[in-house]
Amino acid sequence: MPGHGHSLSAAKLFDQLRALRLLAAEPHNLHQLQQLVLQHVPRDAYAWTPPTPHDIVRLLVEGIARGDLYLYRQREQFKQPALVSPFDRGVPLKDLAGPDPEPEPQPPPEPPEEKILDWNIQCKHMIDDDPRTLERGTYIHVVPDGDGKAFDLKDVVQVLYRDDYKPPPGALQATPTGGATVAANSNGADGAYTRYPVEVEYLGEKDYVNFLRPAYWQAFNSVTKYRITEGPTPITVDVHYPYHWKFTFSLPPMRSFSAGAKYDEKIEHNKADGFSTKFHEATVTENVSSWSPSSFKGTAVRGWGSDDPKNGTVVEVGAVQRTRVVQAVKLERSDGAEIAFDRAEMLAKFFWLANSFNRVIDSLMDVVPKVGFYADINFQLMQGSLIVAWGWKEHTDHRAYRWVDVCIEMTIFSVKLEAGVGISGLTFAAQVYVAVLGELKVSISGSRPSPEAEATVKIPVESSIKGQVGVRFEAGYLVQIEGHGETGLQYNGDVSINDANRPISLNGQIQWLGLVFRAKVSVGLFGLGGTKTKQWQPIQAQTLTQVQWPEPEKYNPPFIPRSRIEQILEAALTRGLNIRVFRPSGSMFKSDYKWPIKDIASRLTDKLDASPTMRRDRKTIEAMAHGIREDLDEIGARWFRDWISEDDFLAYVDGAKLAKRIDEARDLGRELALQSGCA
Amino acid sequence: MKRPEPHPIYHLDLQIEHCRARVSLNGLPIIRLAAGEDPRGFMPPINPYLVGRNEVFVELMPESPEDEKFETFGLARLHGSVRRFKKGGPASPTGGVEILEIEIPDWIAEQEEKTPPLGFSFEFDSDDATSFAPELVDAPRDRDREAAIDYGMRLCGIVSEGDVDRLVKEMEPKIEAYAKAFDEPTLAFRNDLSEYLRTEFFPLQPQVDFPRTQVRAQPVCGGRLWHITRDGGPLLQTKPDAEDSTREIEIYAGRYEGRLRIAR
Repeated sequence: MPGHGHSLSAAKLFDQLRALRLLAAEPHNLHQLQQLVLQHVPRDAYAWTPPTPHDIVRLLVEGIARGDLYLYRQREQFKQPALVSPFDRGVPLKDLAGPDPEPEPQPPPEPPEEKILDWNIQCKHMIDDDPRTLERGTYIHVVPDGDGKAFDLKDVVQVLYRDDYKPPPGALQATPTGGATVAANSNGADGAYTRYPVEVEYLGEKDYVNFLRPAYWQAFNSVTKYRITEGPTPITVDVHYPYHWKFTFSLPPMRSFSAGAKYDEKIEHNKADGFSTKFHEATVTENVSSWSPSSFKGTAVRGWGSDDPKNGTVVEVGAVQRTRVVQAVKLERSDGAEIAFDRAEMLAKFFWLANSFNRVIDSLMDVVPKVGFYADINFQLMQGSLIVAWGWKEHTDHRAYRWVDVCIEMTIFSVKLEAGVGISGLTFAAQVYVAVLGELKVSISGSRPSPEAEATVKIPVESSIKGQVGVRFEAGYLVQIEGHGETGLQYNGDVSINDANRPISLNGQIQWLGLVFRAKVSVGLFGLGGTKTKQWQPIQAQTLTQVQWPEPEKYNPPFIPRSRIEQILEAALTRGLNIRVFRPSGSMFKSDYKWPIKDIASRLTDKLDASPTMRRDRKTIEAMAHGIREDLDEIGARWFRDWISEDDFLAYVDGAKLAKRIDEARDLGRELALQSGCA
Repeated sequence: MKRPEPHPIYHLDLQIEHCRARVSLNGLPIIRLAAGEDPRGFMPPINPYLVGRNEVFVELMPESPEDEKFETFGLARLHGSVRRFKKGGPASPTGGVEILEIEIPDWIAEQEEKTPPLGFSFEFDSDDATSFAPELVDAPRDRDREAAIDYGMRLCGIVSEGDVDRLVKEMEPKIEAYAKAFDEPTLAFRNDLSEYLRTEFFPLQPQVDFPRTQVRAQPVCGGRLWHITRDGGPLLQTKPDAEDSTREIEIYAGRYEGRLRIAR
């Protein structure tokens, strides 16, 4: 009944709610209550048809609490035959509806005389040990088990049907969209109800495994729709994609990069000349508020050892990082099927990201090394664990929802960089060095528990790892950095969970701040002329890469063929005076054998070409050829400027010096791909 | 005959966090630093200020001048050293030979009331370097501040006239001291200075058109030298050039044969 629009006292409200609970406990009353809702609750309070039992009670409770509805004891208000009021069960009226000004004696209960038309739908899955049941429902979503056992793509929807007006049909008819109608015969009675098991099946595409492709998501989001007729009312059953997926991910650690030599070898690593370098740590922690905790546990690990500022303790690379990525990247399906997928395609974005760190190294090496250059760099990506599972799940009402369970305990990136470059324009030797030390960690946990909970979560992830700038200079002079100088790495982005067509995605960009500083420096001999204050920007800021993962990609950095490498080497070896390699004849009367220049270049090319990680772009190979030429000139100068013995040449080809040059020219992306088992 | 080893080069290094600090060596202020969360440091060469037995005086102050009771003392970090380097080699706060370690003394840390500035001193010897005790320790004190200010104005006049030779002449005591301190011929310093003033300093139009009231003279080295400045910076300073770069010359003046000249 409509109420008076006044709020009830606490005691009265309590009695009303208790009465409602007792009414709702009787399944046959639900239909009547549903009608009550339709008549008296504003339509905008519920968005679907019909309201579920849960919603009915909720809406009525809200109505009562607002004073819009009031439960009266008069039987005349509830004449419908299916209604069994709490009064029929002998519940004292006083206790239910509060004080009555004129209590009347109860008439004796009358047995319902009307005939009943009723039904409910049951899915095969259980909720709190009871079958998932929909009273008088017309629409239900089901998700088959997809667990690899028999009939894992099927579900059985039971229709329980009571019609006192006519005999039950022998069978209901179930028709999938675009498919043939199948009879669902009754298989007996359940009290006054006849039971019809209707077998439904997901008939959509099931074999796509590459979740980076739209086709996968098209299949994942599709339903097989069944229409069940011949019953009390047409019933629609949506059968969802059955499988659950689990993706586990981590990258192996990357090897550090070292090149050049410090101006002062005595300067200790990771010391910003007096103070330990500041460690910049940013951790984004998010437990999605409307979600349940994740069922997974992860471990975030830093990708490199670190020097404790106080004790100098070195933390070793964690055991997780030693695991090769072929084990650490895993895609599993709930039916236990072996899922083979293109790891290279999956990880290519990170190979590109690693490759972009080459640009940091390049930017440092491009600065003219007046007093030497050195770089000691360790970048790490995606260290720790990322676990995400997703699929469709049935809710307690008629709906199904897209479920996702995610646990990320991961260091998105970490950097430990120390590099020095010469300062130009000074009359004395000075080297400015940068020390960048920090990491960006993400800790996210959550499992979407219901369709009411937020479907998509986007978590901003930002971090700025500001580096320190220091100087070393020739004794007797001074260089003082004003302010702090500007260097470091910056990440701006987000982590999206359950976004369109992605259970998880990382988006953002990494920026290298380059190096800019203002300094006061000595002028004149030993600073006799005073000082000069000036700004230097030896390294420009640049965006290293845009991160959008996962996206299907190929890692294909520039690649020049062996023949071109050989040409470049040959050009370098014949610049000015030719490099000449001789095999001594051992006889004064026989001339030494002189290697053809092509053979010299070819032998060197063999070495370069054999490296699986060397950067094979023209600039790198030309720089390498230039360095090799310098090395060979140095060897040749021991005797005559252009005379190299075969033994010395071969020792160089197979020696540490050339190996170091090749190592310093390696492509971090290619190396990561190799370590990941993707090359 | 083997050339004698050049004198070693001494640097005084100071690194601080969450505080301000002033350091003077033998009474001559050589470092003034302020730092917040990010450490800052400075490591100037100190050979021209050595006197054999040297005193380093450190004054520690809170990061904020409003922190009158130095309540942020727990955050403040100060570390420094005096280090000896080989001439021609690199200098860095962890290189060379450490002669003196500079830390906040325990007795300062244990004080219940810490009223800034907190001062503490250290001593070290520099027997293997030229001593400038005659100028910096033994010279008579000069109390004529007005004369020092006048001298500052005279230097500004020389600079405004663009007279390189006169300015070099005024700097002769400094040239002599640097030549001794760094084992280089006086002529090399003199020529280098002339060249620098002519090609870099004067072309950038030093800003010397300020009134006498803006000139300051502060006694240093126990009143033996005057630190002559103008409001807001060194006495001799150029305008910023196209790259926003400036040139500065600090002036420490002392009496030589009764006349003020540039000592450092």
